[in-house]
This record gives sequence, structure tokens and C-alpha cells, in this order.
Amino acid sequence: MKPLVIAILEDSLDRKEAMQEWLADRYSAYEAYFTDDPATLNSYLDLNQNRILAVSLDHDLNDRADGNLDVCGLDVARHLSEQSPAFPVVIHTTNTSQGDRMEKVLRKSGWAVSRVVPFDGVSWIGTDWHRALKRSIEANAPRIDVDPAIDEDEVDENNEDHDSKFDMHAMATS
Amino acid sequence: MFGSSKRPLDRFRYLRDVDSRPLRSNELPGDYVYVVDLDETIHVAPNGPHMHPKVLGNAGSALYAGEISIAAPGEVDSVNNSSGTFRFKSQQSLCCVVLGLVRLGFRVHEAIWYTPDGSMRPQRLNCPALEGSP
Repeated sequence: MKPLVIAILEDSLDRKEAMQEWLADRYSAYEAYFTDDPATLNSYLDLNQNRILAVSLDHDLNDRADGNLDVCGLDVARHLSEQSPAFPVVIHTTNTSQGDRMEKVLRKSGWAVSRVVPFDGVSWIGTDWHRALKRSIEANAPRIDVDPAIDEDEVDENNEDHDSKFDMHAMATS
Repeated sequence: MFGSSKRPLDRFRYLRDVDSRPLRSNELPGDYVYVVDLDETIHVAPNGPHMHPKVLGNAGSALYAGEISIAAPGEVDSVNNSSGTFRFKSQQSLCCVVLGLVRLGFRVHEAIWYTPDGSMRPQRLNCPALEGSP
């Protein structure tokens, strides 16, 4: 089974690098998909709609190699608004008024939206963006019973014996 | 009981982070990374990129690791198994972390389990020690 995907619309290489670092560190089991092109992202989301864990959208895409200033994150918000809500969306833009428009378009169609306002270079990515993404992803997590069969792999020198203070039987009665 | 211990995938012998410390029930609200050492002590450090191998340092083995959000003193909003360098996957061990937090004096509201292969959305575990559990 293919892993789920966190898809991101971002044109800044610095931001992309910082985001990739966080995604590799905390969401390594999931795929990360980056593009600076709204049409490409829309096509990708259409083709992979059942695999999307979350989407994060910038608005202004001024750093695109082709210099095209006619495209923006609102193009993706509008595209998503024509579909049923399927995953959380994080809007990360300093463009407050256009971010508001994106949020309004998405919320009107029932999408779950979080907002992050970038600040101080890329430091916001490790604080506000990561927190917003995490909360969005975890927000509607289904509730399940513990499966004791899911355990760590047996791994050579990584394994070490120890006497546990925590016993599952004690947990059930505590 | 906790499952097998693991060393971080990143074997560089980082120094222990200066802000890493055993978790206490009066820890200030915030987002932290945590690592459970072989004595089952839960250590925390401020959240940051690639912080997990620096919580214990020296490429030390751990029983579990992830993120913990403290909403208010004594109140853990959520705890999970999200760590790219440890990648623990045992659900029982995550519940052991919850129990360890309760024994420290915390009320724990959510245990979020990230699937090891990324094929599913994260899930809320029904750990017996969670606040509100029957």
C-alpha cells in the first residue's frame, strides 16, 4: 500500500528546504510532494485524492522560475472548493487579504482550514507551521483499540533487555 | 511493558542537549520532543528539527520517542510516536508512555499513533490510562 501524501504549494526554496527537513524528521512515513505550480498541484490532487493526508498552500508565488505572477494559491483553493472536503488544508501566507479569500472559499465548501502567518525567515516553519500541520492531521484521527501484535522489529544490537516497571495488566486496572 | 529498545537511525554521537531534562509534572505548557530511556524515565527537550537524537545524546538507546504537547501544568493534550530517527511503532509502548505520564501526575487526553508505513491517517489509541477511559 502506498503511503499517504502531504502536498505543498510553495515557491521559496528556503521555505521548501525547511519544510522538507521537518517532514523528514516527523512524518518520514508519509510522502512529501512539493510544487510551485497551482495547476500541477490541482492535477496531482485529482489523481491522488485518496492518498492525500494534508495540503499546505502559499498564496503569492513570486519566486517561480517562469516569473508568472498570474497564478496563486487561490487557484488551488477554488479548485478544491468544487469538491467535497477530503483532507485538512493549511494556508501559510503573509498575504493576509488573499489568505482570507482562500480561507473563505474553502470554508464555504466545508473544508477544514488552518492559518499560519510566516515570520522571521523560516523559523515559523518549526513552530507555527509544524504545529498547525500536526493538529490538522491529528484532528479527526479515528479511535482504535490497542493491537498488541504491532511491536518493534527484532533488531540486532538495538535490542536490549530490561525489566519493565509498566505492565499492561496493571494499566488495565490502574 | 515497553517493547524492544532502539538506537536512533542517526548514529552520530551528539552531545545531550543542554535543555534536555527528565519530565516533571510542573513542566511549562508547550510542545516538546520526548525520549524514554532504558530506565523508563521520560526525558523532554524543546521541540525542534532533529532533536530526538539529542535528548539522550551519544546515540543512546531508547524505549520510545515522539512528541508531547502540554496544554497546561499537569495537562498533556496529546502524546505521539512521531520521530524520524527512532520510528517506534508499538501501540502498547505508546500506552506505557501514557501510563508513565499519569504516574508523574499528568492527566493525558490523547495518544496519537502514527502508522509505521504511512499508509493510514494517524489514529487515537484507547489506552487504559487516558483521561476519561472507562
